Amino acid sequence: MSDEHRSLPVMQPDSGHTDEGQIPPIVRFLPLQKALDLARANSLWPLTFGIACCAIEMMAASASRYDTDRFGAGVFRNSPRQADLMIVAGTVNMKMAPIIRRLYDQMPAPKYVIALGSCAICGGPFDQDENYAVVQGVDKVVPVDIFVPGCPPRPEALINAILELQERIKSGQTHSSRV
Amino acid sequence: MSDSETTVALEIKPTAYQQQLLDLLSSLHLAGIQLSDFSKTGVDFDAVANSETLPAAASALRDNGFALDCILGIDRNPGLEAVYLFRPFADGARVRIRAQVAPDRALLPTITGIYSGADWYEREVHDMFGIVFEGHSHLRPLLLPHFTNFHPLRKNFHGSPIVIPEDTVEIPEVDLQAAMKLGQTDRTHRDFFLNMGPQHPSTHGVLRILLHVEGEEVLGGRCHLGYSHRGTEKLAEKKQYVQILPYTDRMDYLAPLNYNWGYAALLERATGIESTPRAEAIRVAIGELARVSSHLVWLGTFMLDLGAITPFLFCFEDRERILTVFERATGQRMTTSYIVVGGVRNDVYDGFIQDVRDLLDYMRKRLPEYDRLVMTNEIFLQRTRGVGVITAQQARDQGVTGPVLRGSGVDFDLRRDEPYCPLYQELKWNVVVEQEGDCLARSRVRMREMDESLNLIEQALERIEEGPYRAKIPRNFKVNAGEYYSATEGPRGMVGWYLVADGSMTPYRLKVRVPSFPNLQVVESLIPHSRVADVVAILGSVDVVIPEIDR
Ligand code: SF4
Repeated sequence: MSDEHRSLPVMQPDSGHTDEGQIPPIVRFLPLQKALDLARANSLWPLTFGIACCAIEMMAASASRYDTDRFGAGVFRNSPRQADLMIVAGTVNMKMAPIIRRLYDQMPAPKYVIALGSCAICGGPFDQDENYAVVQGVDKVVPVDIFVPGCPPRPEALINAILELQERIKSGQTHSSRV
Repeated sequence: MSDSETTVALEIKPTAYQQQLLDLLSSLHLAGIQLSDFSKTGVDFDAVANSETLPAAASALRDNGFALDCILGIDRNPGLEAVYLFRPFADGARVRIRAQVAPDRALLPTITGIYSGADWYEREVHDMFGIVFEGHSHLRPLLLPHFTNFHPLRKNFHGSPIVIPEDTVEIPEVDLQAAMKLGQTDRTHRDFFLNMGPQHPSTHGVLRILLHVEGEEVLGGRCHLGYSHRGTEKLAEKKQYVQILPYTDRMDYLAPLNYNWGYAALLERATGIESTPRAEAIRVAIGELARVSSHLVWLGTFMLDLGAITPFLFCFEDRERILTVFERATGQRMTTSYIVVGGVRNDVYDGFIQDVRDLLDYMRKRLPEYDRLVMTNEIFLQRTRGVGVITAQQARDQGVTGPVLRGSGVDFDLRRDEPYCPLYQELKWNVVVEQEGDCLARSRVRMREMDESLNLIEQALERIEEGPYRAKIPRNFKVNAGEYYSATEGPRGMVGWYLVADGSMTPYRLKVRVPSFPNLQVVESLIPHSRVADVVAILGSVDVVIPEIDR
């Protein structure tokens, strides 16, 4: 596969909110920051947003048996403006990629991304020589904090990812907290 | 074969009904009319049309009660071909009409004026092969982004990636321009466009419906597809037959087993391999379980769309119980790849039968509960009764199948009418039909179908006899050159597989005719003059899976 396929021209990962161009705050309130992070970690609001098969496992994770509410991440929001966690569940293709970027941009910071399933990680089973449609991983479009392998990953894997994300938020290791 | 001569080459002696159809076809100035062996190819009649005879043939078939199965393209290299498949609901007789065109002058007349369901099929063929359908009112890309300039399923296309131009991060303006023409009224200051999706909780995946609304009233709407197009059909041309099986799981992830079955049935028809009796019984048991689990997801999400959360939680819990059995039997919760050519991939575990029996007992208690909770709920009735009525004729024109068709009073189920598994003939069960054609009727069909499925499972369990679970087949088998079609009944309707084999280990062309494709298309014609909230109800009652449409 040619290199040009690997990089999308308009959507560089991490553009905008996280990296260069932003002036780091001069004064930091570390204890306050820590308290806020703790609060954020324990009340993640995911965006209701499924693309393909993995979305069903995401629904299963939020439904009665697995119940992500137990971990504070069960309030699925339909509007990106109310959500701070994007779970990319499914195959991202070239037609969808700009929309994912747009949704991500609409979410208020700090925001976190979980790439659920091999499609969101690298194109999964569709990342083949002859494929013309599938983006090789959603990290080409938005910065991803946690990758969950599997095709589809079990709901437990998603729960594990949420717990892991909470740890990272608390210790300030997400893309959003690295200002 | 020249177009002018009308040859009727008979290999098989036609029955009276077939003779009648042959006479009909010969009166249509079609060339190369042939009777073909249904059990080998899945098609009864073959004919060749050209741009002059095609519309007349289509309209004659429509007058004789034929519905449009699907339209697909084939790159003959050189030369392109559009294949039209028709089938009446009453009697099983599939007619295949081919129309050949040159790649540099790929023009065919549209048949959207005759079959409204041809609309999206023609757009898809245009996308994938570049055949232009003259007279089609909006031949814009359906599955591919609007900025693509290639036709991926042509043989000279080798997977160069789509490059997103710099300026298309925004949702393109062109769409809006086209959408302006949707509504019937003049543009006043009160009407506006509403984007439903691609990220919308009730579109079940990534569907975008551009609604033209005036207040609460919807003047018109147009679906935009392709947000989860994954190029599976192109991939299939590079994969060996066995390697394609996992991709079938991922098309309809709510009922992967039924898709596995459809693909296995296609290859069994093409190669003549027969599956074992034990495997057939396992297939019925597990395939019907998949149908129940798919209907449960439909019920849960449909209720969620209508604003009720409790059924969703109930349904998913029940579904988890079914998935537990799937996982133990197949090794996977969702992407099972279990039903393979000649049987099933591995034998069921000890205690499978007991587990399924327990499940049946449990589900038998649950279904009346759903009836009480949902089907007699006043709010539910008000939201669905008389909403989104599909008439039988409309269903036929659009090529709708499955519970949506049966909800419109058409008694048609492939399990009975085009048997792909002998057990369905032997077991006692009924095809569920409701007459009204509204959202409520469709819902009732699915609820009663779950009951029937439970009956089928119970009887199938008794038929699981000792014996091999899989016929002996070579590891990498080939399929003899030819064209094969096979259709099975998935939870959403007819899953058709069209295979063009060239005698090698990979398909030359594999087309999947998915049930959600026409079923969603009918939504487009239902939404004018409904309320915005009804659009959600209609969409939910039709039960579509978007990645299956986009493939
Ligand atoms: S990773 Fe597998 S299960 Fe998930 S969306 Fe991709 S193909 Fe489907």
